[in-house]
Amino acid sequence: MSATWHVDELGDGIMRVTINREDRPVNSLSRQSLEELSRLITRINSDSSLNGVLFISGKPGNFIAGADVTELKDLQDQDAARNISQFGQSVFQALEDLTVPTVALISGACLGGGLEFAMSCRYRIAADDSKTLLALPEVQLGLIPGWGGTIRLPKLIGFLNAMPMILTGKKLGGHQARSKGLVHDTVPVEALLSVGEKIIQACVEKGTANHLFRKPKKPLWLRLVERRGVFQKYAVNKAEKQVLAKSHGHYPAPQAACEALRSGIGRRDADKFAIESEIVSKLADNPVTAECMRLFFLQEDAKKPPADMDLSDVGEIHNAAVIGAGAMGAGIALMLAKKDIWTQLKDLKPEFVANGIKTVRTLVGKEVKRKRTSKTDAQRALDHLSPTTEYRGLKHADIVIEAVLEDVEIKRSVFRELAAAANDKTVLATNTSSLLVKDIAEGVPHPERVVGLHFFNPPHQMPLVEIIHTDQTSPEALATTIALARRIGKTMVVVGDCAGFLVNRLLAPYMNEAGFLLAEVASPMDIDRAMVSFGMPMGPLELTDLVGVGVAAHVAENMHKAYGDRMKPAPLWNSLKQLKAPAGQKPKLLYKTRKGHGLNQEVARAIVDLRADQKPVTAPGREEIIERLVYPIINEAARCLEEGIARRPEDVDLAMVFGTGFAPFRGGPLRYADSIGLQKIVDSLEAYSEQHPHLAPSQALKDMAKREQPFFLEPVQPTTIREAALA
Amino acid sequence: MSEAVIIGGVRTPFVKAAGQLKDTPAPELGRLVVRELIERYDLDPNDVDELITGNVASPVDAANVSRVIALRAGIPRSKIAHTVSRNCASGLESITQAVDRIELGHAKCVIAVGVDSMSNVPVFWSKSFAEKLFKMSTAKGSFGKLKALFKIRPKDLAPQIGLKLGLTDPVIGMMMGDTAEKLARELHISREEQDAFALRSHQKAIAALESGRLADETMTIYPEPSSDAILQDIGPRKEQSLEALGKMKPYFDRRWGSITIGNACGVTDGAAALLIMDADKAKELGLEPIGRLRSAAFAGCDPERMGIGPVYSTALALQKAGMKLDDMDLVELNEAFAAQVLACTRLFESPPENCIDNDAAARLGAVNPDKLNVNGGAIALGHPVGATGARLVLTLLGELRRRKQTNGLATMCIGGGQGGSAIVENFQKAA
Repeated sequence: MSATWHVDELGDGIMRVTINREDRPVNSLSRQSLEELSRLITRINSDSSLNGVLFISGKPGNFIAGADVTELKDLQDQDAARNISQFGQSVFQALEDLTVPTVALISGACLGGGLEFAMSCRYRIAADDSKTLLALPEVQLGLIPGWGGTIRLPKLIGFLNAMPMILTGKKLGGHQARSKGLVHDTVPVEALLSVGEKIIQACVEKGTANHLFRKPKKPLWLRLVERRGVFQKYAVNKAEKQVLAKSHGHYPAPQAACEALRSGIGRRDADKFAIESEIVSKLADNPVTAECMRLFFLQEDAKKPPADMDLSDVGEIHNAAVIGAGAMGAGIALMLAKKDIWTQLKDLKPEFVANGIKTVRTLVGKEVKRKRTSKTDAQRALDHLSPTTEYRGLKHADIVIEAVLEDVEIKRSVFRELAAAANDKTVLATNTSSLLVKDIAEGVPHPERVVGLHFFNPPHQMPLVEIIHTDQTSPEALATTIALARRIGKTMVVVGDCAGFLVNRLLAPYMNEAGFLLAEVASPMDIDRAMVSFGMPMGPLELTDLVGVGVAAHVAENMHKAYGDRMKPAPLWNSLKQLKAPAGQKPKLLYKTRKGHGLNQEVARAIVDLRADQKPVTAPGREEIIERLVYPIINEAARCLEEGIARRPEDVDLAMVFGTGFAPFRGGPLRYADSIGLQKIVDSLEAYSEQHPHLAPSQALKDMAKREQPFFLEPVQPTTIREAALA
Repeated sequence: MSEAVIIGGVRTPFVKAAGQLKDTPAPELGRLVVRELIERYDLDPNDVDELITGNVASPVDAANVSRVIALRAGIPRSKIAHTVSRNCASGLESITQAVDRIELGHAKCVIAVGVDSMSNVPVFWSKSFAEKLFKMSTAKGSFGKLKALFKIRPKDLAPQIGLKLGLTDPVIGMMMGDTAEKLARELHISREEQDAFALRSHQKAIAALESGRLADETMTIYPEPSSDAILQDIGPRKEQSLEALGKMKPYFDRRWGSITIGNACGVTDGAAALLIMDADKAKELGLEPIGRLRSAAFAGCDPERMGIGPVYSTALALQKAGMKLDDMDLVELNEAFAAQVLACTRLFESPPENCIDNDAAARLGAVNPDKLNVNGGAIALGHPVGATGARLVLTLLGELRRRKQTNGLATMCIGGGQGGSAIVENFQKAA
């Protein structure tokens, strides 16, 4: 049995408990470690010679990262969840009830159950470094804090400060935690232990150590008002509305957290604890929670290199360059520079470079203003970025990322110049979104070092990158690219080289079908409404406007060329290619109106023209809209898996959720497909294909359906529209 | 003994103080040129043994500005860096020290930097005000503090302009311009002569910029806050005329003087850096040297006549190199003031009696005006004090190369009564 809590004596009756899970690289709380803590508390209680207990982490950069997530995975029935919640509550209550003073000396991540543990100690001291973070991120996993967090946090920092932490998982750094009163003080990490000892000495001498600390400043009126139940209820209700507007009711956890806070107002603590564990148990067997957790683990995995790839030979990346100083290039360059990689940002003309530098400085300036980055770190990042108009200084470059215009000739000439300026091992990556990597690599000396590294716009915000290998790409070049993606903290999927790669290839039939539907549906806005209700962050028409109608039409043509008639552009796109816009505006399908969105009049006319040419059809309903838009994604994904473009079905789900925002609570398109049943999807597609031949199911999908083979082995519960919302 | 060679160099555009570089302090200017050198020459920063920076205005937030520049430009932490000051010749001092360090075998590769941001010279409170503030902070109780506060008088609040202090010689109590006035009076250098010289400086600089002769040595910068590109020096005036120069009021001796803002160098921001290596190290790294220092010398003179320092230091440098002024294919004589340059050329022709020794003085002689400051000088380009020495050597080597010539002299006067001179040899002939 591996221990978590390691006890030794520091003299003067001070017990030091070093938190160090021997079986894990990161400290987390399993049921077993809670039981161990419970025994430790009994021991402390029975030891009358003790003056105080210090809790400190034995792992640098990590205090306690939360409950043991591998155990959370198995928490899918209500009783087990209620049970573990109540057990944790009772252990932490015993900790809080100890008569000897306890001090949590926090350095590194103190999250979820870890923070709930720390809040049960009498004193909390945090390290003042940037690695120290305190948060209750349970909502992001589809849960709520279940070990007294919803009760203790408002007590410590007030109702108003506690709400965003519990409802959205907001993180606090050491200093923020101090000014809000979540910790008593912040000290340099190496001073934690000695400060802890001083606190206990003060407790021995005066019975308390409170005189050592300054109280956080909070206006008196707020302190008084904040305690009123009426005010608290009002605040929770208001927050719930905001939460609902964001989640469209698809996610139960934030609402459940609101519910936990609201039901507890004015009750005794014992009731509040009961409410907390009741809500945890209700969430535990909700299918959405399971999907949120599954995605969380998938994403954690995708931040690491794929299991079958060995990165041990990849040297550290010191030097890089980004070619093309547009919004994309500048954003990528900044990400590299922030990770201390010496990065050149190159473009043809000084004006273009100046624009790139402007973009970077604006981004950094915003981060400093919002206190996400310190001034020193901002300067450090900018110091690592050199603007230039020439290819030079690339002999030591480990990787060069090209982000110039989407034109195969331009890209090829950039790659030829790069090949001459860099060394033979420098990885040459292209950030193309629509061209084939192998086409760009054509004629480049040492083509084995060419890879695709497809960022999504805006690159510093979108979590996903697609890493594309051609048939020639060497394992070393791929490994270096993966190491880079990992260094800048991206979620990555490694995919094969094909038009659109994985994300855009799967998105293409979806966007295209929206064009077909637009000509058929009675009210075009129904398309977007249907997809938002399905759980997309925005409808396909709004997305088309965001990308640009012209670009969308161009992409549709490219896809048609690459994949033939199943991706034939919707006739409407052709007639809208010349869509005009008022001066200074982008041509759009939808325009903002007072009620939301209104259809562009020109588009409306084009639709009328188109309908006149075609025989009338019955307008599809919401269900048909969803099926005709989502099933083709699944259909194409089956092809990608069969062709080896996607390595595993998990990659498809990850890529679509993090690349396009595909309804995360449904676990991704393939998880959704499993929940519907492949045979049903094949049947529907076959039915639609009578009128729309491009919707015919692929052989790959039909084969899977015939074999009754789902995409995933883990069983899945269906998540239907809005049922997820808590009653 | 090892031989030190110059691999190359680069500088920022020189920009008038309080202009586009006002938000670019000295450490940033220095970082820019050092980083550019590393990238231009594809250096591995691990190969750089040390960084020597010449700087006069000493930014208050970067005590050893050289170390700050080195770390911010990616020179490894295990390497060393120090800052040198020899007033106006600090940039030249960093080069001569770099050469010395290499020739004595202490280093194989040194980056010599010269940098000054005269926009960022601080304005100080008077000493009396600082003392009263200090008393206030140590006073006991609110009443005590209030009492101390009332001791502050309006005259305590008068700011001390750091730049003005820096350009005043504290030993003799004269501003730099006053020393130039003295030379003009003693050697009868007329206002017209000075203005004509200043005009030529602008014309030559404009011609150099327009032909792109300075493009190689100048890097493009994108300073905050606008991030707009600056491609070349902002200072030379195409529309400069004798008439306009003649209209300017004397600045130092307002009633009877002849030195104006127009015939003196401008207050300027800028940086320059040279990559200097042991000859064998250069070979090992596959870098082609562009030249070397044949000799360098500094010499002292009367602080009240600091402008003629170059006469003494040049005599000494020529003696060290075993050459004559006539052997020089080009001469870069820093234009602190037109009067001071003209004074130097006169004394080169007829050296003063106290000029080193007879042998040294005999090596001087008339300077052919066609060889002097052929691309203009500090009157047009500006004089970012610490940076100029490095710029002179850089510009000189570039022009020698273009002209396929060999020997050049870079020399400058130094506030406080010194002169600095370096004789350079160009290795490469332009293709």
